Amino acid sequence: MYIYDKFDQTIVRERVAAFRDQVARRLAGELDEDHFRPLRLMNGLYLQLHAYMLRVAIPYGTLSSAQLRRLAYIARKYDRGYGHFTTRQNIQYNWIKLEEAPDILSDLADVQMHGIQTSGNCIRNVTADHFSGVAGDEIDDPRVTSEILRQWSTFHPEFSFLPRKFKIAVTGAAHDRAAIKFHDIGIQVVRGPDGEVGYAIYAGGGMGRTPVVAPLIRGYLPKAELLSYVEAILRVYNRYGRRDNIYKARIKILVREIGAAEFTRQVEEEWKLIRTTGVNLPAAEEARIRRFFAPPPYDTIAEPVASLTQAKAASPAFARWIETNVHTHKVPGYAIVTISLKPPGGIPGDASAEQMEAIADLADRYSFAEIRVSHIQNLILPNVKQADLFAIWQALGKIGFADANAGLIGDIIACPGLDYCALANARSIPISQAISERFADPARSAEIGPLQIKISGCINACGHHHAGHIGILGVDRAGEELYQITLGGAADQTAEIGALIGPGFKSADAVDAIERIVDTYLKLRQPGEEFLVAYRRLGQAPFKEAAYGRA
Amino acid sequence: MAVLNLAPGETPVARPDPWVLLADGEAPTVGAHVIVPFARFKVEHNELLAKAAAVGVAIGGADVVEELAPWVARLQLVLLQFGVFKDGRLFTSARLLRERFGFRGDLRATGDFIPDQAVFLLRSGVTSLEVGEAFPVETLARVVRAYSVRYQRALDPQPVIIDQRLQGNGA
Amino acid sequence: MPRDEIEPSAVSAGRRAGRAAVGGKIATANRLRDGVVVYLDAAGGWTTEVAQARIAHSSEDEQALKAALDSAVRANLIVDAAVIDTRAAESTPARLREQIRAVGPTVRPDLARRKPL
Repeated sequence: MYIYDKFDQTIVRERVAAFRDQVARRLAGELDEDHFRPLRLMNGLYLQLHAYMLRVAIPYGTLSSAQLRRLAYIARKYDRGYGHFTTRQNIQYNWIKLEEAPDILSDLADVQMHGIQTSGNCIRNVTADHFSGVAGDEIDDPRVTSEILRQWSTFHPEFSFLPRKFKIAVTGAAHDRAAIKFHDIGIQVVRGPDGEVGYAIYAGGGMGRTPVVAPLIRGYLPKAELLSYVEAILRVYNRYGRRDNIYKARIKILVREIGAAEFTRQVEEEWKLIRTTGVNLPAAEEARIRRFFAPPPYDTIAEPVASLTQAKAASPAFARWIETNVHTHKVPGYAIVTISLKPPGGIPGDASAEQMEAIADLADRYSFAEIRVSHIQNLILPNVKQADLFAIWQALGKIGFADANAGLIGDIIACPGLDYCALANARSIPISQAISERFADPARSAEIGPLQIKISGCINACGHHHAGHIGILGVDRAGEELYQITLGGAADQTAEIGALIGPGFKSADAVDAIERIVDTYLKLRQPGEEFLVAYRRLGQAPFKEAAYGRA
Repeated sequence: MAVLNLAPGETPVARPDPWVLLADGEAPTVGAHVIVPFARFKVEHNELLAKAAAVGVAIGGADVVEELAPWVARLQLVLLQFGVFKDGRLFTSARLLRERFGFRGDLRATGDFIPDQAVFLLRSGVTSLEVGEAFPVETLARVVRAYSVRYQRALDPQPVIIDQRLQGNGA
Repeated sequence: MPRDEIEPSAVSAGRRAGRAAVGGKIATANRLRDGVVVYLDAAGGWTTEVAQARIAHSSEDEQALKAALDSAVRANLIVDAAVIDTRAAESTPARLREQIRAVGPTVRPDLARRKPL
């Protein structure tokens, strides 16, 4: 993974000092809240219902074991012993004191971490495929691109006061595990006509109040021209994105209002003027960054691995976990492990300090000291030997994270909702808990197969409900929490926005409605047909009728 | 109001300033340094440039700097008026005036900005700040030096990190 | 965590809130330096206990709450100040959001500042 040099370290250190100065000025009254808010947000510090919340960046989802241990330490020292992994490869702490925030950032800087640009109207933490570097279907490691973008976007003099927040995601494979089409800019590594590696560029996607699947604005961009092209997009957006209405300020509205073709024309016109002005990264610097993402020293291992075969035969529960939570690694004899942070009845994405430390230990012992964070709110051990899988599974069982549900109905994305969030209209977590308990039986959930449920507690859609196969949006109707259901959303390369089935359900009825939808799928599916495929074949009608009890 | 210089590595200090922003309908005095809103300049530029000793134009976030491009060589000052400090358009306007249209005069920010934005302003090509009496000048002097290194090439002359790395100075 | 533990009384209270007659008003905010939820109390100070909040029953009382909030905002003691509705004759907030602010996340009863309302 990328290791800071003295310049990266200096920037983060100076940022801590600058923020300490800003906090002191705020507490002394030199800065009022209106002028302080953007400054604290650009360090990831929000004010939520119960306290300040600190959002720490985990750039493109890659963590070292030492960093994860530091996150645990911060949870224990400054918070209440836990953290929440989010849909944007960040971790959030919920009980932060403003006066301690500079110390926390200083402790983070010790391990090359920060909260820089995890909030505010600026270029946010760049996210990437959580299987980067280990997936067999990858053309190029998207973390190289992401790190280039991280440095370019950090304290950008021109783009730190954008009309609204700006999110970039990168995938290195045709199979999109980073939901790139729901981002302000989605970048996909592709091969050009000559076989060279470059990018396909999508722009103007997003969720929120106006969900949009990003249009492709450039089919092939030479790799070396990444920064000038992205800068051209940002410049057009910074100049012409709407600033009169916060709900219309995202780039997706600009793209929609002037049309993708006109937007693209403006970007290309701007790009022509800056292509050769020194914005692009020199090849030597790209090569320097790339070296940090070289593969670790893998052993040569023959497959099949006998001990794994035996352990699967001996334990059906282990075999089921292998089936769902272990993924094909590009190197023979190795595997990728998804650690589900979704125990039935649990809070999606939450991990205690003890759990984080246990996972850091596992990474040290079995995964070259590296951990990934997925936008699905799980952790990943990206580089484990298949022969070690049984030991890892047993160790995860001891911390309550051995559930065999990755990608299944219990693997729910949920935003913090009204339990924590000042913007929420309804709670998300209790609905998630009720659903994961209802479908807790591993055999039943395996029978249902891949099914993504995503829950948001307000229209901002941090829980990605628009992209859920089953999406749930909590709303407030005259003081009562109601839950609207959407069906048919997808976050991958077949990205689609789910369609609302009708009026919302009371919290007690929502889970029953979900169950009736699932039962209808089981009844109507063809052999081996996954939920989303069946939904696309059948349309909404049978599911809608079932949800409202009319089937 | 005071005018502070803004230059890399220098402490911003107040300096005497000859510029006056003309009120609506107010005629320029012969030999004066006058600033007029861009809309007025578009109409009266011939008269203004003939009469005044020096002419500046005030622009806001919504003004399109391409329209100002034909005159930049004859302007001694462009005033960036921040209605709200979050209006990031003016950072792009500043950069374009310098990099694309070759403006060499004084690029001045006024209105609602905070000391912490001064680094961004400076890096976007701004060379002076007009501030009110309540503006914390001491804070400005401190925070303008908050960062000793930078990733992006911009209008300030300090070497960027990439260049230092290419010279082998990273480790 | 068992389901019954994460369904505190706040839920039913929230449902009732839609129909229940509104009671008085209380003043609330987050303390600037640590973000803790606070309420204006009868003595003009700030308490973390909603039960000790000063309840306004008249528009004059409500104006006094607002004035106290404004003054504390200007003194940089509090942020996100608001005057909120309570249930009839009690200091219990009417809206679910405010009930959760007063107690803590419903999904972490172990972290509740007080017993559920």
